[in-house]
Amino acid sequence: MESVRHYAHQEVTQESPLNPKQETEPEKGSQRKKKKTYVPGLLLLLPILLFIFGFFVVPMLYILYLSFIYTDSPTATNAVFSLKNYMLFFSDSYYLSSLWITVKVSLYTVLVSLLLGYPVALTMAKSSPRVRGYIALLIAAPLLVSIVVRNFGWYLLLLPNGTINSVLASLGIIDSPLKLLFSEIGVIIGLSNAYLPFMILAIATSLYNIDPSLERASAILGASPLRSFFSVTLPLSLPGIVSGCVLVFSMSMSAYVTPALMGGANVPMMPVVAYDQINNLLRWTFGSALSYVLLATTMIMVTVFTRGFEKSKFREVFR
Amino acid sequence: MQKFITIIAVFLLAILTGCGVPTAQKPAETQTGTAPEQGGAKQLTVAGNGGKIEKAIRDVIAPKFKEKTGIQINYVAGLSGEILSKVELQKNAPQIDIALYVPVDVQRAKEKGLTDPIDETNVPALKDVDPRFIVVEKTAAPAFGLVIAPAYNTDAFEKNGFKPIESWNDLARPDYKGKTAFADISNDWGFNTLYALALANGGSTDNMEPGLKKAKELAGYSSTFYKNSTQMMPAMQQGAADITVMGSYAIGDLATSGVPLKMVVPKEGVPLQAFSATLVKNTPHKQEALEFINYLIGEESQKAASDAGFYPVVKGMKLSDKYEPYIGLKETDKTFKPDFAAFAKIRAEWTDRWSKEVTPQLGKLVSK
Repeated sequence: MESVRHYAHQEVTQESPLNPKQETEPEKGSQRKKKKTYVPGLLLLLPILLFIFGFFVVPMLYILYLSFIYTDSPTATNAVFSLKNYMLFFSDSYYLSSLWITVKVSLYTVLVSLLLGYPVALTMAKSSPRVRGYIALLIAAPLLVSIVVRNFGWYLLLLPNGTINSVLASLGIIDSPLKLLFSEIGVIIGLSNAYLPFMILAIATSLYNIDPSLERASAILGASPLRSFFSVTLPLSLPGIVSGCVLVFSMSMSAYVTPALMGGANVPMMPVVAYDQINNLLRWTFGSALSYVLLATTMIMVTVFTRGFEKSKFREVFR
Repeated sequence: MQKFITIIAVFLLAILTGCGVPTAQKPAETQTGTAPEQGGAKQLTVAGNGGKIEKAIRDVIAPKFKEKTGIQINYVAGLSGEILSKVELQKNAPQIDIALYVPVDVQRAKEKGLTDPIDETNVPALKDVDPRFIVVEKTAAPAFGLVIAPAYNTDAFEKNGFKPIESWNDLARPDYKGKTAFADISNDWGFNTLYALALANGGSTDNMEPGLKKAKELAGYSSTFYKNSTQMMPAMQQGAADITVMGSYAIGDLATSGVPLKMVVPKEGVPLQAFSATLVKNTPHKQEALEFINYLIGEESQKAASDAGFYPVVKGMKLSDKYEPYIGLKETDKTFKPDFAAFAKIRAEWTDRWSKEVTPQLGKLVSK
């Protein structure tokens, strides 16, 4: 099996456009030519850079500034720079448990999406382009429906006297209704439903890039289909799995609508708590601090996760 | 490359300049904004609740007002707290001329200096308004009257032989365990429920402790407190809940759509209030805005409010016959006007305590 892995590595490094051998010895003429095309290339990026700067960087910096102000009003004249908002967060078990619930629900969402999404992505990768197109359409179809509408649909299905509980009760599987709604399970169902397409498409993209001859080679070398999957397909699809997990985790951490509608007051995830602080209690500055704690937690977890994989024994597939 | 950096620097500077602190424009300088002249017609921007209020203003009140004055109304729908945040952020250059708030936000807007005074001198129709609806004196004109009250599913009560609700304390009964639809404290209905529970147990705005204690029991028999009040309607429609506390207009809406729902006025009374219109401070269209507010609380508009299920605020006017059987208030029904200034002061503290002490009790008595 080692030989299979070695072959895969060779192929990646030989075909890589980032192969240093190909880039370190360019002709002087082409270097000059590259310099000329550099500026128009950056100019093409200018609109999006300006967009991100104006509509993301500037507001985020303003929110960061607010998070260090200890007052109830962003326009108050007695505003003072202070770490009090952050200290309040870290000294209050309610907010810490809210962060923990957010992380826990997001991790479960990733797990459910991965377990449900991987087989679909694998089916897509094995299918003909035509079937693949149909499956992609089916996967993307729910995204055409508003998240609020989808959540109301789930709400009606998951009610104690809703469709799912009624069917399970009529089949004699349950005696009393399952608590599917207003619980972490309800939020995980809603979030997994919303973000599953992102997981599937990320993994599928990675699976498409695997050379089918690798699987054939492993079979020739005597590996069973299961062994081929775990030794060839799964490791080579890790970049897709990692990007799918990062995408779903980040979106779950910042989700507001689903936790509010499916979790009610029972699942106080951070975005819901931050929204309440800002819009209902008008504590802009504390709400801003909550937003930054959430952002920092997400970034740290995502970085540790991706770095962990990039430095693991599978690091070759990330190159 | 230097040229490129210069171009980027110029663009960034331009953006930064645009992102500077907005400064107030003098009315005479206003060329664009909320009420520009458009072929002789003026425009006003009104921000208020979505749903029934929006529909009443968009479909009936605004077109009639335009017919009379030529002023076009642009309606921006949103939650009261969101509107207050917007008005505060636009403090120096208001884009909204009239903001419709729930009572506690009228008080908060006043405290933040976001309103210009309103009284009988600039809004003459106020002299005909029932003073019970005025939430904060000389600050806002009450426009859409309501009470926040318990309501129950008549079929379920009859079928199960539940005792009638006579007190706010009766909401916390094992009879309805798991079949309740109460709003979370972040919602106005939720905060009014807490206050009513405090009143029913000898408390007041100075002492909400008894209310919090009873609310823990209420939480025990409830599966959740709804973060989004619009979700409470389908809960009642689907039979997932038998009892609720809602604004009277929502109860009326459900009842007239066929849900067997009946409003109750407990012996301690129900809070009478109104979504109220404020004149946004420094709006460049003060006169036109005052004209609209005056029209909004006049008989013609109040007829539209009544047809939408709100109590008309004009003295002597009756609620629409369509809603009377479900949410009509009898002479004997006790109502009270909460101290909204005190509400605004204590809201944050009791919201925090509710989240930390009441919410964790949710569902604890349901499975027993």
